[in-house]
Amino acid sequence: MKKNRMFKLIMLVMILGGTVKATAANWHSDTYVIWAQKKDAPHQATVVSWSDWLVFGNAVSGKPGVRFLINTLGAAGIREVWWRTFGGGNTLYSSKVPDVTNGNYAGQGADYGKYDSLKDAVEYAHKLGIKISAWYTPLEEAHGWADNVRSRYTDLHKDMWDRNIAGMPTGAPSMYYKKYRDYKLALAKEMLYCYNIDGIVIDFERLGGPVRSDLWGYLPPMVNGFNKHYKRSGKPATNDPEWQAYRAEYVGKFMRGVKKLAEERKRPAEMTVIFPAGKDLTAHWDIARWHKEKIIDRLGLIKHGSKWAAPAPNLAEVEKQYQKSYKLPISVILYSLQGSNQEVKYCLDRAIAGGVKNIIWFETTYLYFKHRYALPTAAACPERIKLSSPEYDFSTGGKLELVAAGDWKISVAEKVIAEGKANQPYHIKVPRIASRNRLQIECTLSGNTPKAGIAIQGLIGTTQVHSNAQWISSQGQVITLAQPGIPPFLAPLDTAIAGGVK
Amino acid sequence: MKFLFIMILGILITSASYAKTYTANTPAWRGEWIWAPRKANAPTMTVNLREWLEARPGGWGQALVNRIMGNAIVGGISNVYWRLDDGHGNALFPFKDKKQVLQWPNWDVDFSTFDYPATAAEFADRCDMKITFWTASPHFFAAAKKRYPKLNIQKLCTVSGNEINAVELKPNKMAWKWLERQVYEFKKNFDVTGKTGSARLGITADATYRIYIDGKLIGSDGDWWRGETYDVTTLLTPGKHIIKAVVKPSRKYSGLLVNLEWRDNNKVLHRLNTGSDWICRSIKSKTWTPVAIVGYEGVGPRFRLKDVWRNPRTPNYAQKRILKMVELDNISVNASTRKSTARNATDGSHSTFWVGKGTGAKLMLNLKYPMLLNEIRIYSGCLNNHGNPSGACALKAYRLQYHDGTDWKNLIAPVKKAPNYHGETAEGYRFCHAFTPRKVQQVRLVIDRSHDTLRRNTGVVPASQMTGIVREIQLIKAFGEK
Repeated sequence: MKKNRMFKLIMLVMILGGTVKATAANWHSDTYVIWAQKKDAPHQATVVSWSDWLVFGNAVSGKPGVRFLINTLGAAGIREVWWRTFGGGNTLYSSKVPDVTNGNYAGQGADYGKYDSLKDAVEYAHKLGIKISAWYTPLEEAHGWADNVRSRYTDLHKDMWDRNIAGMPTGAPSMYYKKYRDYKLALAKEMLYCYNIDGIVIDFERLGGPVRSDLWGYLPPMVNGFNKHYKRSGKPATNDPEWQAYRAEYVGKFMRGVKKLAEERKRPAEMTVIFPAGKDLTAHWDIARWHKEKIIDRLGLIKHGSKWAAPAPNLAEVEKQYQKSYKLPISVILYSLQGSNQEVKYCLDRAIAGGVKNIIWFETTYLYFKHRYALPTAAACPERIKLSSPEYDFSTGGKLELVAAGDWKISVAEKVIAEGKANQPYHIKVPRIASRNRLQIECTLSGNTPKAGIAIQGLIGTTQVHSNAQWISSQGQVITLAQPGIPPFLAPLDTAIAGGVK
Repeated sequence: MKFLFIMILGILITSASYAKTYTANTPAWRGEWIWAPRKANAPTMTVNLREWLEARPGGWGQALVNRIMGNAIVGGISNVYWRLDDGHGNALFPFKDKKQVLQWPNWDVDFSTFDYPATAAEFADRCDMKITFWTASPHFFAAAKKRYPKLNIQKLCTVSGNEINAVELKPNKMAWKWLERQVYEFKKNFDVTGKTGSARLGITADATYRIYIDGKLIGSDGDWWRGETYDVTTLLTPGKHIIKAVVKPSRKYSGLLVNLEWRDNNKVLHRLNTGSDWICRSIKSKTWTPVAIVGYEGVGPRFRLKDVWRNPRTPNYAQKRILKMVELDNISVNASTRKSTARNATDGSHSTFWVGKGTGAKLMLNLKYPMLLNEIRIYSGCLNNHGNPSGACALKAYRLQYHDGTDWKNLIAPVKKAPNYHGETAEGYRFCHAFTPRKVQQVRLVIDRSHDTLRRNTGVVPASQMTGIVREIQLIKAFGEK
C-alpha cells in the first residue's frame, strides 16, 4: 500500500514537473505581459531595420535578436511592425529567388542565406497579436551610394541599366525592362506566399544608390515611345508631368502585379505605399493613378521636420489634406532620429490632438538608444490599471511569480495578499481562501517608463495561472504586449524575492 | 520521344544551374587585421555572459563571441577572464544537468545549445589572446575541466592590474588609450616560385595606407571599409619579394588587412594575408618587432567591410605616363570653406575629399619652396560605384590661379563647362590642365560652379549651398624640376 502511494506520489511529481514546463527558474511560454490600451490611443506601428542594429553596438543576431526587438517594441504598446526585407540590394531574409543577393555579415550572425529573420519575426509578432508587414524597397539595388550593400544583380545586368538625362548609365536597372519587373515581382511573391505576413509596404523614399530621381528614365525607347504617344520631339523636361507619369507607368506595371499577388493569397494582404507627402507624382511613382486603380489599400506619408529624420510638427495637417483627396486609411511617419525627446513628444502630441489615428515610428534603433520608448508607451497605455483574472479555486492556496512595469498590489476577495515594486520579479504565496475567486491586480506605471505591462504565472490549487488576453481590465480590452523572460521583461526568476504581504 | 525527353531534361538542368542566389560579402576577407604591438597599460577584460545579455540584449552565438572579443582585441586588449557560471548557480556552458544551465526559453537563450567557452577559446587562439576561464563552483569546475582539458580553467578570478567589464567596454571611446597612434610600417618577405599567371592584391587599412611591393608604390587610400584591389601580376616575378605598407592610424581603431593572391602557370593558387608573421616598426624607429592582431573581418565594432575584390584600382606603377608629382609632404593646404577637409585633396586617397561650399569656394596649395610646374590634375566629384565616379558635385566651372607675389593670376583660361561623369575608374576621370612651365609657390583652385543639382532630400537648396567636391589635386613638375 505504502509503495503504491509512494509510486503515485512520484508519478504525480513527474507529471506535474512535466506539465509545468517552466522550472522554478523560468517563465512559461503561455505567460504574457498584459495591459489594456487607452480608448482613444492612436494605432502605433514601427519600422524595424535589422541591419541598422548591427551598426549600433548591440549586434542583434538570431532568434534571440528578433524576440528582443519585437518584445521591446510590444512592451511600449506598439501593435504593428514593418519588418525590413532588404538592406540596399541585399536581402534581410532567406530568399531563394534566382539572382538575388542574400545579405551576409557572418561575423555578426547575420548570414541571411542561412538565418531567416522574417520567419522568426512573423512567428513571434503573431504570437503577441502584433500585425507584421514586409517592408519592401523595390527601387534599391544599393543604399545611399553605389557600393553600399550593392546587389550582384546590378553588376550582372548592366544591359538593363537606366539612363539619365545626359544619356549616361545610371548604375541601376530600369523598370522599363520586363525581366527586371518580373524579378522584383518574384521577390514580392516570395514575401507574400512564403511568409504569413499581414501586409506588404512598398517604399518610395529609399531610392537606392545612386539615388533614383526625375533625371532618370531617359532610355531611348522610353523617350521615343513618349514622343510618339504625345506627338512631341526631343528630350522631355525632367519635371514634365506627362513625362513623369509615362515613366512611372513602368513601376505601375510592377505595382499591379504586386496587388494581384496580394489579393489572390489565401489571406489577402494589405498593400501600403509610402512616399514623401506632397510628391504624389515623380518618374517613379504615381499615387493618384494607382489610387484610382484601387492598387493601394493604405497610404504611408513621409514628412521630415526641420532636418532630415527630424519629427515634423504638422503631421495632422498633412494627414487631413490627404484624407480629403484620397479617402484611404492613412499612416503618418513620425521620425525620431533628430531632435530632443521634448521635440519628438511635442510633434507626437500635436499629431494625436489633431486627430491622427495611425502613427509609424521611425525607427526602433532611435527609440531604444535615445531612450524614447516612453513616448509610445504613454500614448498607448493607461498609467494605472486594474486587472482581473479568471476564477480559480483558492481553497488549497497556491504560488505565483510576477513581474510588472509599475508598482503593484494583488488582492483576493478584497484582501491584499501581496504588493511590490516595479521591474523586480517576485514569488508570491497565495493563502487558502474558502471559495472561488479572482485575482485582482492594481498596477501603476511610473512616469517616463519605456514599457507597460504585468506578467503573472503559477499554480492556484491544481490550476495553471498565466496572464493572457482572457484577463479583464477596467480600462478596456486586455492585450498581450510582450512576454516575460525576454528583455525588457527579462526578470530572471532566480533573482525573485518574496512579495510583501500586508 | 526520347530526343524530346533528353531535350527537356537538358533544359531543366540548365535552368536549375542558372537559378542561383548570391551571398553578399563572399569570399570573405582572409587573414587578420594587424597593428603595432599592444601597449602595456591595456586592462584585462572580464566577461560574464549573463551580465552582458542583461545589459546589451539581442546578440547570440558566434556573433556574440565575435562582438565581445572583437571589442577587446580592436582596442589592444589581449587578456580575458571568462566566467563559466553566472554567479546565480547557473552554468554558462553545456553542463550535463540542463536544469543548472542558464536558460531563458521564451527568449530562445539556452547555454546548453551553444559552446561559448570553446568558441571564445578559438577566437583567442586566432587573435593571439590569453583567455582564462573560471568558476568558483566546484561541480562546474570539475565538469569544465573534464569537458575542456586543454583550456586554462581556474577556481577563482585572479586578475592583477586594471580590469574592465566587457559590458562597460566601449571601444570607440577607449581604444585610443591602449593602441599606438603613430604612423607604422608593416612588411613581409615572401617568395614566388615559377612564373605568375595572374596576381591581385586586396588591401584596406584604418585609417590611411600606402602599399609597396619591392619599393614600388602600388596605391593608397583613406577609407577602411572600402578596400581596394590592384592587379600586380607583372610585379610578382619568380624570386624574393617584400610587401610593405605604411599606415597612418585613425583616432579610434587602427589596423591593416591585406589579401594577396596569385596563380602560377600551373594555375595553383598562392595566398599571402596579414597575420602574426608580419613585422612592424614605427617610422621613427629602426627596430622591427612582431605585430599584434587586432581582429579579423566581421568581429567587434568594425565589421562593415565591403566585398573583397571590388573597387579595382590601377596600380600607381602602371600609370601610362610617368608623372613627377610634387610630393605630398611638400604641400600644405588651406581652404575658404570646410577647412578641416582641405588636406583630403592631397592625401593620395580617392575616398576622402574636400568639400567646397558655394560659388567662389577656394582651395589653396602652398609649396614648401617655389617649383617649376607644367600641369595640374583635378579629380572631382563623388566616388561611388566601386571605382567609378558618379559625377555628383563634380566641378563644372573653375579657375586655376597662381600668386605672383602681388596678386592672383590665371594659370589657364577659366574653365566654363567641364563635362560630367565619364564612367571611368577613379584615376581615369580627371581634368588635366597643362600650361607653359611656371615657377610657383602658391596655387589655388576657385570653384565658380559645380554639377550639383541643388536638390536634397528635404527640397531644393540655395546656390550658397552648392557643393563642389575635389577628391585629389595633383601638381605635376615640369621636366628638369627635381
